[in-house]
Amino acid sequence: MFLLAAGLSIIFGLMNVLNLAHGSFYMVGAYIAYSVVVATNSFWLALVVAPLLLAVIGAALELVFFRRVYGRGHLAQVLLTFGFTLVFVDLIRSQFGPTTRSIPPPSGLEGAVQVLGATFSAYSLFVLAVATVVGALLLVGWRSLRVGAVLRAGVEDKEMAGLLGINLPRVFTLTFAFGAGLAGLAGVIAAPEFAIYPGMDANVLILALVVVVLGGLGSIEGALLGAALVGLGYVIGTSLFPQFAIGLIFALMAAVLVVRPSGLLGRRM
Amino acid sequence: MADEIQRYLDRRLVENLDRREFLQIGLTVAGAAAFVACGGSTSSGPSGPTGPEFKLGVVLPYSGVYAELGNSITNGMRMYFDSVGNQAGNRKITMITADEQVQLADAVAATKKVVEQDGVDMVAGYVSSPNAAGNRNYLDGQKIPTLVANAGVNSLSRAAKSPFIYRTSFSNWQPAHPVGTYVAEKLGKKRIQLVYAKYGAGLESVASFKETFTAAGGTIVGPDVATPFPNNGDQTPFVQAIQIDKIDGIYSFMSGTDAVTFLKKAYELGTLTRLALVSGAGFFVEQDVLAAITDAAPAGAITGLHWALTLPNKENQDFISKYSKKFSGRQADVFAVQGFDTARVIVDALNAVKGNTDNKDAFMKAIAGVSFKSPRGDFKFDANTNNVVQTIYIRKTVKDPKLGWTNQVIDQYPGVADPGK
Repeated sequence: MFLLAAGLSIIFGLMNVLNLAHGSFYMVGAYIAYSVVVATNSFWLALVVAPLLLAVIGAALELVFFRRVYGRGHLAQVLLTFGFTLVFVDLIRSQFGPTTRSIPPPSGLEGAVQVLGATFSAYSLFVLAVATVVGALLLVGWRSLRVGAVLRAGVEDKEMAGLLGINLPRVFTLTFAFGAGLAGLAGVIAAPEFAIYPGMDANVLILALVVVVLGGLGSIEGALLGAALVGLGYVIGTSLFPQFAIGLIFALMAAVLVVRPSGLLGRRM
Repeated sequence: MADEIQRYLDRRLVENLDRREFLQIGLTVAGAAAFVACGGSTSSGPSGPTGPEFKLGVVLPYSGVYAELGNSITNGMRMYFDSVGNQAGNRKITMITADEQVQLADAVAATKKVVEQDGVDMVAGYVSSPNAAGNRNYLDGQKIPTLVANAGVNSLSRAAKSPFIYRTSFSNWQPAHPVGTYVAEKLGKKRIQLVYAKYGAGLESVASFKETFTAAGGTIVGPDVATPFPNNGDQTPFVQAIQIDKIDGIYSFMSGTDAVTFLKKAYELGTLTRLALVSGAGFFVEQDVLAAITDAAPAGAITGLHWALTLPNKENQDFISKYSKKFSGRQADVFAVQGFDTARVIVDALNAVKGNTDNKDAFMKAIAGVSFKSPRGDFKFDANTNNVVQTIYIRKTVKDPKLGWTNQVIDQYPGVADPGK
């Protein structure tokens, strides 16, 4: 969840592009994982291949299509990227059919684990660990590496960053590729945990958007916090009153937006 | 400037007129040609049907979560129609498909499209219960002969029954009912917790199980585990709400993606293997689910359904092998069987009335009178409920050396009919 939201947040925040196709990247990532696992029986290979492929796809789409709509406002972007969600879901359906598929967790992570008296599935803990590691790396990179500084500069003030000699178009392409790669990674990670089917993109996209809005646009910390809140809210919500879980999340979002219109850790607009 | 505009408009008008005239002429010519062609072909073909075309509106989901079901039902129908040369009662049968999608509004639009634009003689389809129930009044009011090919909502056999709507699939009550008796009496398991997706079908299924189960001395151990439908989130809290230490087992109604994610999570947590019994309506472990989860399947699960891949009768074995041959290796499923039987009902009824569907009462009577040996066993309609009367098979989930994970028939309850109230 966090992985997905982080990618979305970076793209949205930095480039000011509302990318609805982000959920599709996630779905494609999951299907790549499925194909790789079926072909080679190696989940770990999928974990490497899918994000890379997605990054390439993301970069290609950015270069050919999205680049053209930056100046045209959010409506054009929404139309274009929404169009891509339809294209992706139909491509997936024509390739794999509408059947629900799934892959087993990698060997070694199949069973259950007792932690403090409660039972967790080993794979869930693995997901948690990956999210934590990636989250930490992102935070470090964002705060202290040169790339992070360049990105932050881009988020803060595009023109100034451009004046300082940063090649913004290239940064944009790379950022987009990176965001898409993160979504692909999220897809692979989610594949053994959830079911793989055409339509999984839409379900997760809405939640990711909530996470981003809740946490604040263009802020990694915000995405982290937002993901934690939405995740907790959803789980607590489903166990207390299952029929209202989604409602609870949106109520939470509404409440936050009333108090802090730019999200919890967002920039002041 | 104004003149220029005026001239431009005039020219447009003339052009348009020309085009309209041209179209008119073109259409007349084309129409005449088509008329001649049609007349020629029907009179010269000695073996083809000579009656008017019989148009069947097929309203099934070809997109959205139920697309797979829609495709299977359509395949089943096509297979039967092809086997009789796409004709019955001296009429050529043409299927006109329309996408039911997921939401009622779309299903209503699809129904109206085939009825009002295509002028179909009959409608068949409906996968989702709200969509079947939501189109009921329209179809009833328009007196369109209709066969429901999947949607299980009980009310269509009860309060919302219509003389124009028959059901070839099942009512939600049916597959669950014998399971309650079987679990309590034959298996002697008396303490069961209910686990279900909380929506119409889930609620009706567990209510039906509860009826026979408690009547046979069983106790439902609360609280029920009711998951949201569909559940796109984590299934862990629901799996962990199963009170392993207090119960003999569970009865479950879930299908498709929900069943896949739930069973996988239960497998990882090792929950179901610690229960003496996993039971449910057959959809919980039907072939689509088993194919997705493979070795996470709950071995030994006892479920009730009106069909099983492993049914040994000749009709079924024939059906399975021909289906797989016709649709490039696709495995037959329960939905394909429903489509196959739906088409058979239409063909038999058309033959019975010799293709005359103008007298709708007579045509509906012919439908009601259809009975045959289906891949699922004996098939006939119940005059009380307009619902199919059929055998419910008690099946056990096993790993077959040839078929992989599947369900083996271990017992059967013949002639299960919805009570109609």
